[in-house]
Amino acid sequence: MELTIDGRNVPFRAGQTVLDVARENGIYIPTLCWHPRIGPSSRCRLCIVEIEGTRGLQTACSVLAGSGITVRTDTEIVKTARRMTVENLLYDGHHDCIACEANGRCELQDVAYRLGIREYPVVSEPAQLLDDSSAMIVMDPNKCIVCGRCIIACNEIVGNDVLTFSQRGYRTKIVCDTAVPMAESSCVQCGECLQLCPTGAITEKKSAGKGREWELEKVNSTCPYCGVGCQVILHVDRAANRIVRISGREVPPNDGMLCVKGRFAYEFTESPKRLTKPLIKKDGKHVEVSWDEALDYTARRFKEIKEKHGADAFGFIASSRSTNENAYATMKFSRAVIGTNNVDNCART
Amino acid sequence: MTNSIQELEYAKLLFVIGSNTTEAHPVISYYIKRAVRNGATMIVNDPRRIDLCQWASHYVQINPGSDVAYINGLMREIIANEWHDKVYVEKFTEGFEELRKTVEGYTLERTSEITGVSVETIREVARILHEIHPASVVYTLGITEHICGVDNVRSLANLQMLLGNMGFYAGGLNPLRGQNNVQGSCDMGALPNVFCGYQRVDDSNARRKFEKAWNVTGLSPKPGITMTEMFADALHGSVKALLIAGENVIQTEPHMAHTIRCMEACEFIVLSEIFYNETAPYADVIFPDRAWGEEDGTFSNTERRMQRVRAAVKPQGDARSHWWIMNELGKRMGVDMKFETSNDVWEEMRSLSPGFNGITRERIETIGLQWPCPTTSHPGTPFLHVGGSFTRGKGLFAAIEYSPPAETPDSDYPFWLSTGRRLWHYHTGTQTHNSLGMDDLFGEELIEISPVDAARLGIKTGDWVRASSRRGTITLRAWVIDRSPEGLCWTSFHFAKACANELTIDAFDPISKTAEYKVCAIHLEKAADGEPLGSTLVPRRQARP
Amino acid sequence: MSDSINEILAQFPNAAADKLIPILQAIQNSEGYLPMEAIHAIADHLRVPSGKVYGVATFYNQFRFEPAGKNRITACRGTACHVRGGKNVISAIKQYLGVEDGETTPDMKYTFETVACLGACALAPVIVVGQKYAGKVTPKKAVTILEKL
Repeated sequence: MELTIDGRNVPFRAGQTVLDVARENGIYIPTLCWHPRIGPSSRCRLCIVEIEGTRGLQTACSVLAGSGITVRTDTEIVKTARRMTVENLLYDGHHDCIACEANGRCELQDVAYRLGIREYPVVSEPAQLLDDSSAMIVMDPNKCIVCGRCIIACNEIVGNDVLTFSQRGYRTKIVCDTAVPMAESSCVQCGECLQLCPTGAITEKKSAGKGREWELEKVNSTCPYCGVGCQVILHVDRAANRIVRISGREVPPNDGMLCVKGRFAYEFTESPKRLTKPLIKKDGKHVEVSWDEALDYTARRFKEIKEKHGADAFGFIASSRSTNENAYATMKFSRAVIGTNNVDNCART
Repeated sequence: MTNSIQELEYAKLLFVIGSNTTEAHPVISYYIKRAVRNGATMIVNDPRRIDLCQWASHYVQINPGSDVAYINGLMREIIANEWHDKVYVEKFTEGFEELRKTVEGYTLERTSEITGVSVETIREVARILHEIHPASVVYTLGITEHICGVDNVRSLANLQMLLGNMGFYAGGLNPLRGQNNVQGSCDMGALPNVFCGYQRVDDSNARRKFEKAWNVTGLSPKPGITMTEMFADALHGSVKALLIAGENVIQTEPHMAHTIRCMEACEFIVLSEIFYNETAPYADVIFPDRAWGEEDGTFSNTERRMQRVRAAVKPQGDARSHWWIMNELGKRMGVDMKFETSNDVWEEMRSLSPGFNGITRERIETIGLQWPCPTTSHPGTPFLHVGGSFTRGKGLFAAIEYSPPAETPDSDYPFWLSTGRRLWHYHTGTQTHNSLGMDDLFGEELIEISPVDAARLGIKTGDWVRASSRRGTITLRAWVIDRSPEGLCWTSFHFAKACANELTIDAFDPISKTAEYKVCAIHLEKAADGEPLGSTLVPRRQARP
Repeated sequence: MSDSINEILAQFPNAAADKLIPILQAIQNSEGYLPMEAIHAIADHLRVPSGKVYGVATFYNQFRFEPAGKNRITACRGTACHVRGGKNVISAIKQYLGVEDGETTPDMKYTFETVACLGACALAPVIVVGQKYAGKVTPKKAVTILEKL
């Protein structure tokens, strides 16, 4: 099956939308409210295209591809309509990219750039107060384009049912519960809303000012908390040797979703309370020693105890918080070096 | 888990028992809530009215520790109505007759008396289990942390085999494992009776294989002792040296006063740790370990998926990987384990574990693989026992009788105490308390008390209360909330200042040696008036009624 | 929780979310507005999140969240009324009552609101006092009507 987009014949599969087909073939159609995990909601009107034989402009995200249809994504009418939509969004809010946390990962910024929008007024005083009451998340209604992605994220994707639209028309605003500050709401700070927000309207509080998107290195890893094993992307400032923020990777088992611990509890690695040197107890007090001293001392005491009391006088507890490699090394050490099967892990607690 | 996490979204019937999923496994709760939105029926069985109940079609409040009686009662009703899957039972299981005889004693009336669940509810739940197939059973530590934990698990296995629910997509028996790599530690053979890949130490072929690979002789054929036994033996003097890698045992083990005595009695204690935690003062040597974020390797999650963990930042100070420490100690004791990188460890493990052999680091570069995965072309195993095939051949029913908890309330200690985890913290909090903002979300431990009991004792939310068991006393503030039924209090062990494990009982399941964290008896009294909880301390719960 | 709200909810036993608007209307008829405690009570009653109730209630103009005065005065600012001097009528009412659009006098006697169109353009400019329409209103006439209340 084939359809025509901008004069090119492109293949498609049943069930694909015009937007899917265009994206698959590298044809640019801007979107704001669409996201792979959200699907079409036809709110932002940016994916409009001309389809031969239909009246007006159609939203590519919600029109199914059909055999033989002819789509145009680049006509003057389409471009003007898109530009007007984005300009209205920019005029309406307070989009100050220099100060914005989302600079570099903002979909509104990207579409404005793609559509060649050079000028728009940034009012000096934002009209609405931002909600920074909660521990982890900042909501800035002045940067909100009311695309509804956070609403779907909160209600349908993670089912936490906190965010909702209030009012209607141009007064529409996204609020927590009954328009209470986020800290007083039923929000559990999972952060799915900020992961799916296309602008700087919902951002991480703790990462503010700590590094631009393009400066941070992305490292794929697994969350260190419960047994679900959520896949995460660590956004790392290599020079400062610091994890700046964490986002969810859209692969199994979590498909991008995280909880408050997985997304926000990461600074323990850089805590000044970390142990940084081996310690040996001397006269009842722990004193810092070199690795060689600590290892030699431990090996000597282990040998003594083994000679005197035998291998089964040892007990080894591997960590269920650490890696498989570390657990295997503990297991091998107890069996191959000491010679005991007294090895266990904290599976029982 | 016999099945995969993402299958839960497509379950038709969810039977959740002993799992406070929205707090302990939030991401799994998202899939469960989506399943309910998709039209799934969900039965939540728990002594506490946990937040997940708000999504449940049926909430069954069962008495603490009465799970075996409850499941037996359900099975009796199922068998009495001939609602069990006769073909499945005949073809894939054995021991049915014995099971039938045992559950016969669990009449609706008797079950109701033990469990506190009404006769009508037991009938209704049994009927739903009959009508909707397959059911996915989801459980967590509410099932295992009992002196009858193994019995509880086997009862659930009985139920699932009886209904023919094992070996199907979105069915099965699904324990949600508590820690990020508790599955992995077991997979790696950090258990007294098996090498990596669950190869038994009393199997001489397995031993020969490991002796050859490790270039050693005389591996011990005698299964070792568990952690709880190590502590007890340290107290009795037969265990002289302990090496503990990353567990704050003082705070995590039940009956803290006992754990402290064990630690004090042990001759030589070595820790491999990232923080100077509550256990550290008892150690003779402490090695600074690399933390998550500094360490390269793999974790196995609760659905048996082996996934990559990567070093993103340079280690703090002189912190080293635990495998390196083991390797160095080995060299000094005359056995070179020959680990130079974490991948060396992985490759050696893989070569010795048939079930994990196909899982190379390259293959799990972007998405993890679920074991069993015997060859490098094997796609991994999303769910086990396909169509009813079990490892041992036929699935064996276990006839199990109900036994009461080790300690039950009496006139001196009239309340049940149950313990668990909160959304905001992790275990003893070495990670969450040291991360910014987490203590703003939940900054001190609270004891949850039912409104009825609170009114009787003159306690309101925010008041200081003294909770005592036969083993210890803690003083902390009260949270009066209808999550707790009358007669039951609940708290966690996230805070050293008021740690539930000063109260919990060191009674263990005879097989798994898991402690009965979920039930003990306590006395409760008001200590002093307290301020209402400040705005940053107001315990949040999800608003859905 | 006020008893009257509980009584109203009791009239909708085992209701599902489709009864939300009738319940909101019933409570507003009885209380004159929707108190926040009513929003939470409705959410509990229907087993829906409080935000959903709030979102629906704020979507419709008919619902208010502040207690209204004894007399509700509504003036039209639609096109027909506007060209016939509706703006002056609105100014006169505001001046007489000393309140802005949407406000209630401190003595809780009057609440003044404007709407986009009352659908009675032939009578422009139009105001509504309580349930009663008054047509072809002048600023003077408006004040006279208010004085009589």
